[in-house]
Amino acid sequence: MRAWQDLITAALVVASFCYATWSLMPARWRGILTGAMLQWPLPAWARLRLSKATAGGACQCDGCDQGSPAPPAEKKIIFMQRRPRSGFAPKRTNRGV
Amino acid sequence: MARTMEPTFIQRSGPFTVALVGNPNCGKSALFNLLTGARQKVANYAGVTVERKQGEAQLADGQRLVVVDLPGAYSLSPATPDEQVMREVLLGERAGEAVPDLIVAVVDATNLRMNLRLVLELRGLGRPMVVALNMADVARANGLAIDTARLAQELGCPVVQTVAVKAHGHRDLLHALGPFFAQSAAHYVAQAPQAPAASNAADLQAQVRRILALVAPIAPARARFQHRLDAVVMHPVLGLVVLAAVLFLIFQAVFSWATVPMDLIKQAMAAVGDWTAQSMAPGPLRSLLVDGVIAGVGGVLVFLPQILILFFFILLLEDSGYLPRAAFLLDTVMGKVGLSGRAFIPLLSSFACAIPGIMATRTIANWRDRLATIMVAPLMTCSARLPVYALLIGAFVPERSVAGLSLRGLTLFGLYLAGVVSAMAVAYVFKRVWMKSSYQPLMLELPPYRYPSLRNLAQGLWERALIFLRRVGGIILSLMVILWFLSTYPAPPARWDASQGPAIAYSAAGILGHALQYVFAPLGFNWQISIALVPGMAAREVAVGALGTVYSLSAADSGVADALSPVLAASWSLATAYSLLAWFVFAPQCLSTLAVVRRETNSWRYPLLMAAYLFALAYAASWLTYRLTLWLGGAGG
Repeated sequence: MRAWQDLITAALVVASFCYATWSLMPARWRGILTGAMLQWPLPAWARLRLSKATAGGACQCDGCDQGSPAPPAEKKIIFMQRRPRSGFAPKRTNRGV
Repeated sequence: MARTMEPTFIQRSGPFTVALVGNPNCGKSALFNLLTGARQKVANYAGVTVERKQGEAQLADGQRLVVVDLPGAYSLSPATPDEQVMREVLLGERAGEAVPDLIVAVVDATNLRMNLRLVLELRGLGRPMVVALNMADVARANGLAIDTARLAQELGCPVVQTVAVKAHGHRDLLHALGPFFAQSAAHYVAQAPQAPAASNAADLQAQVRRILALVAPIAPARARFQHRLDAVVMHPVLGLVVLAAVLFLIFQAVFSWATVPMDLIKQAMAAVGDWTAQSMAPGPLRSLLVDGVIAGVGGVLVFLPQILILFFFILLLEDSGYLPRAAFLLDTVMGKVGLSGRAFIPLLSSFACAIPGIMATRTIANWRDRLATIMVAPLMTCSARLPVYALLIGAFVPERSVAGLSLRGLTLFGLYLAGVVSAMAVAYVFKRVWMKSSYQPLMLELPPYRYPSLRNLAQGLWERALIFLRRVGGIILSLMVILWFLSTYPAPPARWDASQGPAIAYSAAGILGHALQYVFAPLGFNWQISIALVPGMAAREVAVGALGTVYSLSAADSGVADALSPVLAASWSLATAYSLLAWFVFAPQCLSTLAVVRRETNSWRYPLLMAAYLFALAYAASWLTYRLTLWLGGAGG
């Protein structure tokens, strides 16, 4: 009985270590590793699962598929200042300019 | 002047691609979910989608289409990185991505004046296009009659009415798409996209006015009730009072509403732990299940109700249209510390997780403002910190009322506030010293107030529960098993007995914990806490599970597996608990966040700087809190 417990425990620890390493490794390394593993003669379901798993990270957040695009050229902001009309100042006019 | 290109024969090896394009907050993601069965986030404010999303839809004839949901944009001249994504995909400028075969221009039927401008620009690309007139039900309810046949005639493409949030009209849309792909599934003739003409905004607006006069001559005014509500919600003083009250209510509810379901989960975990201990023979597997899985993973699972209550309120606010108003309200405050008002929504998203928050900074046009927001986003309290806070508050803050309010709720509110205040302070320093830029005025479209959709709410909560359970069953479980292994082996020497100290002290984790204690002892952290901090780098909640496992292996009885809080309350001083809380307000980020910062900034410099400054802040704040609490009378640990 004790030997079975040892065996199952060892299998669980090794599987957990592999899973945690896979989840926490940088995405680029994971991509390289997946590429290498896809060269092996794996069944179709395993290949599909492997290629899907490449995208996932430890945080399980999607939408992180590509890096940020190059920022677009910044647009110059034109500040418009409203000048209050003064009752004493002469009226401005464009006529004759 | 538009460049005319010769029609190109597009060789197709895979399915056709349809891109959903439109102004922000017109319902693209809701339509995408409806067409593809996906569960992308949907909310009532601009800038929810910042990256392209892809799914599959099926036409009536069984043909499969790839549907791409793109970030919203007001024009084809991008001002922000998320708008740039839309342009790059539409013009085929994105590396390794083909130009979409057809554009579905999603239009908010209640705001044609704004939305039709982009449709006219898209028409200029010369690609096949279908217009989806979304929120058609709201437009009808507002008394707006749109002549869709005339609109189709004016735009020169099919127009279909849809109500994406109520699952109406998507079949009509798929039906309208059919004829475009009916010719052949293998080959399809289409023009390559023309470069967008340098369109004059005034000319476009004149065209829009002309079309509107023909298709929807009677434009309804916005409901007077909405203006009245805005007068209160966006008032410089009353608005802040309303915002504070809303946030306060959320944190009170997180503690008071969650008690019953949390107790039920605790009892269930205790029963499972007892049953496992009684049914199995002593051995490593029993120890792994009781001390590692049930004490560790079960300790984290208990916090699911609190996380769901927090998200219930966040989703409610997102769907109602309140968030952009809060962004306007806080623009002045944000401007004073040098941040753009647009930073509000990314920072608010960081309450869920820093990763989507950092991604959401793509809506900020100015690079320095964006960088400053990225650097402070991790200071907002992410949901992974909630289990740590809840555990320590539950153990050390008495359950009593202060002026009719729960003291525990007040403490949680204070911790969230500490995160916000420190983010503002750090942003102030960064913007004054390093990332200087002039004030960028906030321009944000205010969506109308809407009743939150029950479907969205249920779907959002379901998604959050799944994300949490996936984390618990995935990375947290695996780290707990590894930690159990490191805390159990090497085993103590043969002549060891319990009087020589716990067996865990001889293990690899015990030795590491004692070594780390030299660094963390000035903060009042014992060797058990020092061990828990290490796996907490992978995911914050793991620290709670790790404490459960470490204390379970240190204890003589199996009581820790049932409830960690009383054990911590008995073993730690108040100063140590407060010091650990202060640590987690600033705690260096999880590895995933640092990786996303690296990707968003295209440099290792910023994530390294972020980790360094957060570690320094966490250490300083913990030390100060520990010393101050000791000085005020909290006993040392």
